[in-house]
Amino acid sequence: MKRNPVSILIIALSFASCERVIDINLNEANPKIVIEANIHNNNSDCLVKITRTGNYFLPYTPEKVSKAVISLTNQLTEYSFSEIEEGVYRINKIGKLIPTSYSLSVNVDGELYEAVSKMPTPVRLNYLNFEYVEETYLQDAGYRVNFSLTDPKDEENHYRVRYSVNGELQNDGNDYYLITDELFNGNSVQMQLYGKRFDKGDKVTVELMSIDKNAYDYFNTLLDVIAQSTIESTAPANPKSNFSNGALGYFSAYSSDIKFIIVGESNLGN
Amino acid sequence: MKTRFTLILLFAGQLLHAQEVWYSIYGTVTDQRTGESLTGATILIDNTKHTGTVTNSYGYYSILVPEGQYKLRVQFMGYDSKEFYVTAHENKLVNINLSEKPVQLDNITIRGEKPDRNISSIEMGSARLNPKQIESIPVLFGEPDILKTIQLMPGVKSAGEGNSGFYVRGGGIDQNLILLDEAPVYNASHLLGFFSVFNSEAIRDATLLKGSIPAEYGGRASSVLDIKMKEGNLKDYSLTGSIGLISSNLTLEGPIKSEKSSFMLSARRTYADMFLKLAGDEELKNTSLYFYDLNMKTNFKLNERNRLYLSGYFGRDNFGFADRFGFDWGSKTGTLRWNHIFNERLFFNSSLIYSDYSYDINLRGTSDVTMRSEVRDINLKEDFTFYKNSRSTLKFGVNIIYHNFVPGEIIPGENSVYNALKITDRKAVESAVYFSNNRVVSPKFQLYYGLRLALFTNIGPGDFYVLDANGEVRDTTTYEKFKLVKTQGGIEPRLGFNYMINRSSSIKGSATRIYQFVHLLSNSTTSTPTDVWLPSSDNVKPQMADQVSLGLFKNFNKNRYESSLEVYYKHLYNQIDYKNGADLIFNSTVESELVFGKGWSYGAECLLKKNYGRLNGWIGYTWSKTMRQFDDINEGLPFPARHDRTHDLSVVGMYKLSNKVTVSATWVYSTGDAVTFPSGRYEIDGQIVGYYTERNGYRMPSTHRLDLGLTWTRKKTKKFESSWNFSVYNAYAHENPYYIYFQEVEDQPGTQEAVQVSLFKIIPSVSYKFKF
Repeated sequence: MKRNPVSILIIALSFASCERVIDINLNEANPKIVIEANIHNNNSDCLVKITRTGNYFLPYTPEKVSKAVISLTNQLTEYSFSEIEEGVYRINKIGKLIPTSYSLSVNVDGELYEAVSKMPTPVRLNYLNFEYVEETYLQDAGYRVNFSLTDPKDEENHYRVRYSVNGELQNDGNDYYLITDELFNGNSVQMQLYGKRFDKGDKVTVELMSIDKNAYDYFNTLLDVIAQSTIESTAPANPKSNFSNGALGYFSAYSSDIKFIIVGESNLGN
Repeated sequence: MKTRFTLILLFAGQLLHAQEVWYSIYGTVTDQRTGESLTGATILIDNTKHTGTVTNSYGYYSILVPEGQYKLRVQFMGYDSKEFYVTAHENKLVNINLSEKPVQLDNITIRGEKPDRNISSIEMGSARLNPKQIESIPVLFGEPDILKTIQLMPGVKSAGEGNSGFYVRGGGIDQNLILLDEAPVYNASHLLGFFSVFNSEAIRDATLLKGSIPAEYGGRASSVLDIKMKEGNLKDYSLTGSIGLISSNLTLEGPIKSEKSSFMLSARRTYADMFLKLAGDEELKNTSLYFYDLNMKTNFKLNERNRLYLSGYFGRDNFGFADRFGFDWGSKTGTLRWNHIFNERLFFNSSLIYSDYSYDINLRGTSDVTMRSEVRDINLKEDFTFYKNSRSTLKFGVNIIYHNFVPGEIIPGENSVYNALKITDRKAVESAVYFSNNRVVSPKFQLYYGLRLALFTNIGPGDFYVLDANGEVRDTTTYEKFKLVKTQGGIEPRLGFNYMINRSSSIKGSATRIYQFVHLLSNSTTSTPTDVWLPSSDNVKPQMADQVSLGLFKNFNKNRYESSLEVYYKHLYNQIDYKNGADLIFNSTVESELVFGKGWSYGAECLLKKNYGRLNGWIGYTWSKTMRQFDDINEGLPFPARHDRTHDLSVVGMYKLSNKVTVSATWVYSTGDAVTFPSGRYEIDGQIVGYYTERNGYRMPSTHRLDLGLTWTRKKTKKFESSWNFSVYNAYAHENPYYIYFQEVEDQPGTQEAVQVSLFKIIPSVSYKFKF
């Protein structure tokens, strides 16, 4: 969704290129706090993960941050979190969160990190379907999966689409689908899991996440960094965090809708 | 600044001498064979040693002398000099023909001649090239490219491997005013910058000004590259062509009416995609990827005093995939010029210029949408040259440009899921008046002073935005047609001097201020078709550059060797960078994605050049530093610009083995680009993410490369000429870094490695050239 035709042109021109692993000396920065906080309206756990940055080249095991004090409020209710394993905190609540604005505060050894995120009203997936496509020179033959949504007219919407195949979440840099309604505000649209091909019998689960603009900006700038391999990117920078006090990471309150399809079976009933 | 300038004016005024009876010797200098005018030819008056002038870009000259008899000497590089006597007892029209020098193998090709223009003229920080001089320099894919040759001059840096984009003295890639027959070219590159739009078969000469920029030029902060197309042979028809691996071109020129009018037509097309057609794969077969250029010029000598020129350029890139996807982009320019000689001393040029750059992206299928963007100029230029006396050459004129920017338009097809979007056009008028005087104060001392008033006015219709402190849009004001929105700009002083220490050496200095009102928005390190030009506005202040430079020029061995050492300091105001994650394409409030800061650059440039003999070429070395500083980037601390390459060395050599064979070699070395690498890492959403602490704090490995070339002239008669050109790019296969990325080591999850991507290793090429 993010790639523009220029990158295709670059692929076409890269016929003469060659690649080689090289040695580079990188400085080691002072460790920095990284917070990944997701809350949502579905049945899975709302989790906050806290780590610190480490050396770039050394084999990486994130340094986990324990004994943080976390609180979440939506002006009506305040929720607390419990550390369920080292560096991982779970909300103390049973049942779903309602779409509204939330404030999160994380206290690590007296340092306070705060962020705000607004959980949008959920947008539903209308349907999923699949179609068989022939081989093209950029892609193999196979089944393509499409999804459809109806964008609400009176608001600016941001989406992230996640998918899993046979229960396994696909999570490479090129598995991110970030969408704004800028160009199709208020329309019903069908989009494809662009560039992906599936086999007959695959169970493809698609999650449409309605996210706020901060989260969209975060993932958008995150993608700039993790997909920085072409001349397209300017100088890479840390993704735009909504946390105060210089913490890396993000706090996203999202609402989601999930559907699945078995590829190669009937398109009906989805 | 202002008061100091007035002082200089007064000082210069006091040096005026009382005049006796003076007469003008004036006329044009042309090529004997083709009748084309020669720019930059030197006319010297022998009796007075240091009196002389240089033909302007239309080949015109005028010298004022006291009554008497004079020996005139006319010189032009690559041409035989001429000497003759002229008696000035009235104003005298003297048109001069020079004939091209035959290929000489002697070491001493010219006797008694002093082509010492580089030391005696007031110009500094300039380089003049014509395609003939550089045709044997080896080039990538065997495609001669004037922009790539210019990158071999000190102070000029390439935008990247094989790229035709360039940086001059620390300025940005958009700070070069590239003119093709006076028309600004907004995007001078084809195919992501690997080729320039200038077909060297259609080019007469190119002049790069990077230091002292005369007052008649303005609008770009760092340099002027003034390219002139061939005018067309006034005497004979000729057909030249070349066939290469990548492209072919054909140029036809000749008289329309002998000695009175002529034309030149040149066409070039690449055919890389022809190979795709041979492929078995259906999809590959359906891919198109090519560009073409058309150049045209005609000129009419109406009479001795009037001459008309009409020239045009049209070029386009095409990239498509069956009927599903099409992407094309390119430039159009047109120039109508009228040269008029009012009298012996007053020369006038009037030009009406059109310039356009646009791109279109067509997506078919479910998207069914066309996206486009365009920038279009209409430009009127009136320039006068007044040869006041033998000591003063005055230039003055006006320039008005009407800009129309179409930042982006989305036109959905019938079945498209997209809504139509039209970002309102931005219209603006850029205007300038200027005045300058090149004054010979004494035989040893020349002074140049000029002023240019440059203004930029945004006009309606259109939406203009009020931005808050965070750069977010707070309010929108809609202006009606022709409503003036905002005017910005100011006075630009242009100063220079030349002091001749002795007959073979001089000191020159210059100080220049230039405003720039249009800015290139680009989120890549190379020129891409979707680069957008943004006008200055209430939210975007004009860029401005102040530059001072000082140079020492010395010629050795009877001008066979030229050498120079120049130092400069340049300060850049209101430089533009982008917010993190900025969206530059199809964004109506793109102004809110920008951050503003400053830049500075200083350096020293050495050049040693040999112009004559079997072996010629040059060695250029630049030491420089280029910095940027933005409140919103790098915590407000200064950081090196990406193209801050400390050392930059070019060695260019051409050697005539025999009358038929010339070999050539170039070697370039430069410090690696300043880049941003991570200084730590973390994991988020299952991704390994680099932690960045400073902008451009690291260096790419340095680059170096040797290119070799051989030109073999097979046949050379009056009727037919043909030659073969062989070249090898990157002859010792050095893997120069194009970019570096990081990835997880295979089989070792959690461990990262750095991977360097190199583009071209040993690219041999061959081309065949002919001329009837």
